[in-house]
Amino acid sequence: MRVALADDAALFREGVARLLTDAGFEVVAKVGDAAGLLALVHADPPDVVVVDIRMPPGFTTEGLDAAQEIRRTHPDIGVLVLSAHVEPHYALRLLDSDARGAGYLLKDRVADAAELADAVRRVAAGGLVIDPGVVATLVGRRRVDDPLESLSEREREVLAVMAEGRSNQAICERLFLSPKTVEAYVRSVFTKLGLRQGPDDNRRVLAVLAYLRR
Amino acid sequence: MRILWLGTGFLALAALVWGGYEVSVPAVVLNLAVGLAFIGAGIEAADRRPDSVAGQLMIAVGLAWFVRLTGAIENDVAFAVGVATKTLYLAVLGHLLVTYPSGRITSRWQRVVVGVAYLLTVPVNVAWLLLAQVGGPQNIVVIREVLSPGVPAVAVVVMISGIVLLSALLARMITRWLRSGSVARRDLGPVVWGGAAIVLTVVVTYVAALIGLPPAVQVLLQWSTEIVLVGWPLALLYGLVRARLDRSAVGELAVSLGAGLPDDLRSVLARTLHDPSLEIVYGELAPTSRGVTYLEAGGTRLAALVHDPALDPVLVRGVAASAALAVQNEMRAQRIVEAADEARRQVERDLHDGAQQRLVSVLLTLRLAENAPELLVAVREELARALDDLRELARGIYPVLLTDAGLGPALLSLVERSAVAAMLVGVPEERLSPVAERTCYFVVAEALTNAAKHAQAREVRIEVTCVDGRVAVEVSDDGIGGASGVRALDDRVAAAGGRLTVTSSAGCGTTVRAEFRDLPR
Repeated sequence: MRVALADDAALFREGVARLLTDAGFEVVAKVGDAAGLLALVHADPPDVVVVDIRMPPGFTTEGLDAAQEIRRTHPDIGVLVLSAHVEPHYALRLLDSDARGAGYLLKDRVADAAELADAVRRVAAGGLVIDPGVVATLVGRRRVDDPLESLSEREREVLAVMAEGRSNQAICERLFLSPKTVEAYVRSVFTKLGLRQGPDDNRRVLAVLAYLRR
Repeated sequence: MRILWLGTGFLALAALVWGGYEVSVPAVVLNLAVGLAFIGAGIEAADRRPDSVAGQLMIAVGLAWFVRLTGAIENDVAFAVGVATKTLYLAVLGHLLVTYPSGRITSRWQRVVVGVAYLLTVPVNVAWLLLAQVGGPQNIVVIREVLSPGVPAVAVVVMISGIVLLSALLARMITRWLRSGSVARRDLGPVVWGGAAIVLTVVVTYVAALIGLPPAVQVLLQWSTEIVLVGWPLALLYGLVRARLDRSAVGELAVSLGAGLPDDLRSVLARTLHDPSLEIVYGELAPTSRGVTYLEAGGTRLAALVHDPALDPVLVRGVAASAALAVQNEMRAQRIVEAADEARRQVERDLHDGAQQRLVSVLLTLRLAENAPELLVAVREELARALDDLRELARGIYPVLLTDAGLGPALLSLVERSAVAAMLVGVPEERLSPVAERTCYFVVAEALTNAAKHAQAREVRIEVTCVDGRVAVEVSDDGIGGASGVRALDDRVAAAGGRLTVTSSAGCGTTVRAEFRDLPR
């Protein structure tokens, strides 16, 4: 699998490249800014781009803008945005109504090579990845007459993992539950919150995130 | 009042010109000038100092002066009236000088002096008319050489009494001037020295008459009395004009204070008020017999001006109001600086107790991990926590969303992290100016923190509107009421040129509302 990396911090860029190479990915390009990344994607599209949200020249959201641009021009390239901000706003900017193959991950997560590799694989396969920290912010929000209060602890866990963009299979592995149990929890969560199950995993993530954000 | 001035002036002119006697032009002019000067200055003074009746007394001096001009009419009755009232103006003038500046009799000796002064005029004159052999009407107004065989005994007594009274008055005025503070001296100056000149010339004239100086000399002295009489109300008018200049100095003071508080506010105010003894007292004020005017802004006493009690209260209030605004701005600026410093100290503490502490333990654990690799997991966890600390700290210092994405996303992010349930009811669609967005954000952030800490609220509602450039931020909770700690917010909103209102009543929650104008970018 061919991966392109964009980050202005050389040490971090090399470190991530090393981790991805060790995990079996082919790092085809390493650039230091968004313009370089876009040029590279046009010249020789990789399977996945991993991009820092904050890059020269403005150090605001250049990486995120480039990611959105790539999502538009090359819908089959998976984009994973690395960020230092636990902000749902940025994460959700990547996710339009038919989003696929996009992810928003805190930079800290690279400490866990398996988690990074898993995220890259999931966006490459068209899935959605939302950082657990972002999901925790959304789930942890104080609400009056909080509907989440009606969920059991297990159901809330299932809800959070769903919001991270995981499939039922992944939820089983994460929470050590049988597929049948997970399905039952998922159904119960959707019923209690009055949500409709989408036709696929991505729609399900979007529905849950939209619910948590309103 | 203008009618009184013009009307009496016209009547006096008519009496002098068409009264039947030959009156020289300088005499007409001088007689009119004395009366008109007193009445005019009196009207002006009564208007400017409604707390004093000195103005009314000055008008009375002028009227008494004009009444005696009745003697310029060639007619028995007019002559009698003229003689009876010939010296009345001197009694009224004495009354005025004794009681200046209030115009009110406040002590026994004042009552005695004023009473004797009036007794020596009209009653004595009437008695003289009745008892003495008066050879028909004659011109008693115009100054001319009179060859009298000798001064009648009654006149001697009256004149000596007059001299004694007037000399006492003169001495009293001068001692009063000497005892006054510099402010009162400045106010009293024209009055005292003008009054002293009048009294002195009258006394000299009387003495001259008594000791039988040649008529030519006496005529000269009488002329000079009249000239001095014109000058005195003019001196008083000068005093009033100076008061007006003093008041315009308040405007200049406001302009100069608008540019910032001077290093030595006290001497600037002392200069404006012409009171070198002026003091500014911050904090508790000891009881004092001196005048006290408070510097107040928004219902709060910031400081007190302790000054000469003789200062015009209207003037001091004007100066105090300008100074209060400047002091308030200064205190506000000082509080903003202090708040910024306090925020820096807080950042330092957070860094020191948080991330820095964790990094130190990471360093230590790494050292230990050289022999015990299983400790590396702990290192990673501690580093992750250090990162969390730093991230939260950075967020608190400045929300990156505010510049990147605007007010709406930034406020939503605040709401999602709020310790109390909060609802974002509305935010303007369009971007506001950076300063407006910052003001809105920090008002909401602070109000939310307050609500979470003190209000015991169930829910907080947040709404930001912008209509025609007028931004309104409203944060209302349904808590127990009784707002506290919005001082920093007040300063922040004031810095944006707006105002902050907090409405809070027990049991009905608190609403913090900030309104300001968003300047076009």
